Amino acid sequence: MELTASGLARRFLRRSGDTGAFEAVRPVNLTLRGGEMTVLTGRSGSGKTTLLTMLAGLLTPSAGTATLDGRDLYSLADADLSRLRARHFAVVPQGASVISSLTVMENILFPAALSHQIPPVQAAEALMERLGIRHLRNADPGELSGGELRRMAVTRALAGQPDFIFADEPTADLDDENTALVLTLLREAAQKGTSVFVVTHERDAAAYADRVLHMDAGSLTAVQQI
Amino acid sequence: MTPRKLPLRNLLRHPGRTTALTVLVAFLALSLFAGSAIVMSLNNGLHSLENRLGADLIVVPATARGKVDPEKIYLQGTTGYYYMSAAKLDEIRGMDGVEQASGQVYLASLRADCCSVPIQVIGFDPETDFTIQPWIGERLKTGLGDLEVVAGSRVNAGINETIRIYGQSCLVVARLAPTGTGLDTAVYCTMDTMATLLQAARDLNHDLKIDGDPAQVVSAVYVKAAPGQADRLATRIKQTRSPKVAVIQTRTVTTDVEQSLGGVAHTIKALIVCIWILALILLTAAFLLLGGERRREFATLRALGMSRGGLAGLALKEALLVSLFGGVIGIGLALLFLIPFSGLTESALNLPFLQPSWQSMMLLAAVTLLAVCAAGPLASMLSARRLRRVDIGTIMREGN
Repeated sequence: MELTASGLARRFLRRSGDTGAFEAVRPVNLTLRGGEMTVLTGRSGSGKTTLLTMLAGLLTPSAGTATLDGRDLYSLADADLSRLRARHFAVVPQGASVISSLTVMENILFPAALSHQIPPVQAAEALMERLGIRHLRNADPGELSGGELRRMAVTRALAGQPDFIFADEPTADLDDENTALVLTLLREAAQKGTSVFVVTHERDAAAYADRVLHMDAGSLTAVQQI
Repeated sequence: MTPRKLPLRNLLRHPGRTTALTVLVAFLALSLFAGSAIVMSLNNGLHSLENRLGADLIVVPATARGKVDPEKIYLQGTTGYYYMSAAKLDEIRGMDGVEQASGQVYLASLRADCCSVPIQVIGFDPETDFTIQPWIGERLKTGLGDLEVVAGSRVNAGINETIRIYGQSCLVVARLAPTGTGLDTAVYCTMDTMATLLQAARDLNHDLKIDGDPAQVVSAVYVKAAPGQADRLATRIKQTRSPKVAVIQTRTVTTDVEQSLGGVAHTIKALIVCIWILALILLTAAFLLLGGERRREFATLRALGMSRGGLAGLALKEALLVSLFGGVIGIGLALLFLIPFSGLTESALNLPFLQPSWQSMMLLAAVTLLAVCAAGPLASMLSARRLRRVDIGTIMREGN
């Protein structure tokens, strides 16, 4: 599968101050393909997360299109776009992203339930084992540390073997060992055919990527093919 | 875990907020159900009273007013006794404008084996009575014999059991339907039985202040006037002497009761409306606050692939479940309060109070549950609408 951004841009209105509208993302042209791991770096506030959320079908762009195999995501009705996201995309958002009433394992398997797919229990167990959170499978997410929650979110994204993974700072809150492990798992997913798009400040991430993009003030300024 | 089961799980895993919302909804259900049941009971009481009072005028000795408010005997079955010569009955019966007239004799038992409180014994003449027999006729298929009584619904004695009144054993041959008044604790007998009981009371040195033969007294004369004659007849009866009498016009009594009842019913209805408005505002605010607090969680659900409609549906289903729990609890609490304390409610309101049939109560419960189940989702509508509009990308960016 191929996801193509053409002139994808996003403008936000600032309610306070006299700066008015600002361009969080200036027109971006980009293609994400299966089997490829793309890493996006850049300073804070450069527009990385905004670009990721637009590519993931979560934020309507001010201009441009994001097309999946020729279908413009943002021309779809919300129910259709949601179904598409559930079936083909997985997102690791920044910060906590848990459903507090579900156990850790239920959180991991919930995307499959949403898209009416068979719960990938074995894959989830194996990933939890590798990420060292298997003992937490029945735990309440409220009892988990920031690092454990992050590893849970990564497991949730990987378990269903989606076509696209959008990971926003997936290694935040993690020690070096777990950072390496998470990046390795994302790399493995790409090798199995998933298109992995990672926004990160992690310098070592480039070593795992097929392509490194750099963003500055809303524009893609550098592309490094590895 | 399927998305369908998520609303229930969300409620069960957050007992604090679920309890707070449930209590609020239960309060709504309780106020609507209990308030409506009380208004219905008051209306039933009044209808029962109107059905029972077939007389236009009730004539009692003027001295009765000093002992007990006679109106209370008719409305609430307040016990008391006062007597005048039965000749008064004949005098009234002979007056122009009288269609029917019948006497009744009252005796308040100081203590009966059947009851923990004094009961009112009411003697009537089956030949001429037109106020009691239509009411008890449904329950009493054959006539009343000597020392046979018909018991009010709250007299603690079943059919074919005996109760002792001033040492006399009286056989209960029928029981009456509830009236919602103190008359439910009265027993009814013929004039012959009453004469026996009066004599028995006298033999036990109970001073009834009866001069002469106890068989020749009446406590009250019930009069049905010819059409349009009630006022004039009341004036003429008041003017009679030996003894002087007081005349109660039942239309005035029921009008007074209707007015009091109308006032109470309006107050209760106004209270219900106020409680509902306040509770709906509180519920709406609570759902909005909760929606705000759970923004991140809702955004996660959207990121995982839940649609805007699915998210709004989740919020509405949670509200519906809370409403269902709260509604059932509120109705249950109202029943616990209404059934055992109906007597207390009656005496507190000082009005006839007759609870609706269980079928009517079930219907009221169903209507209350429906109303509450509509109110919860209605209150969460604003929150659900906000959720539909929420820009998930913006919320996710808030994590920056």
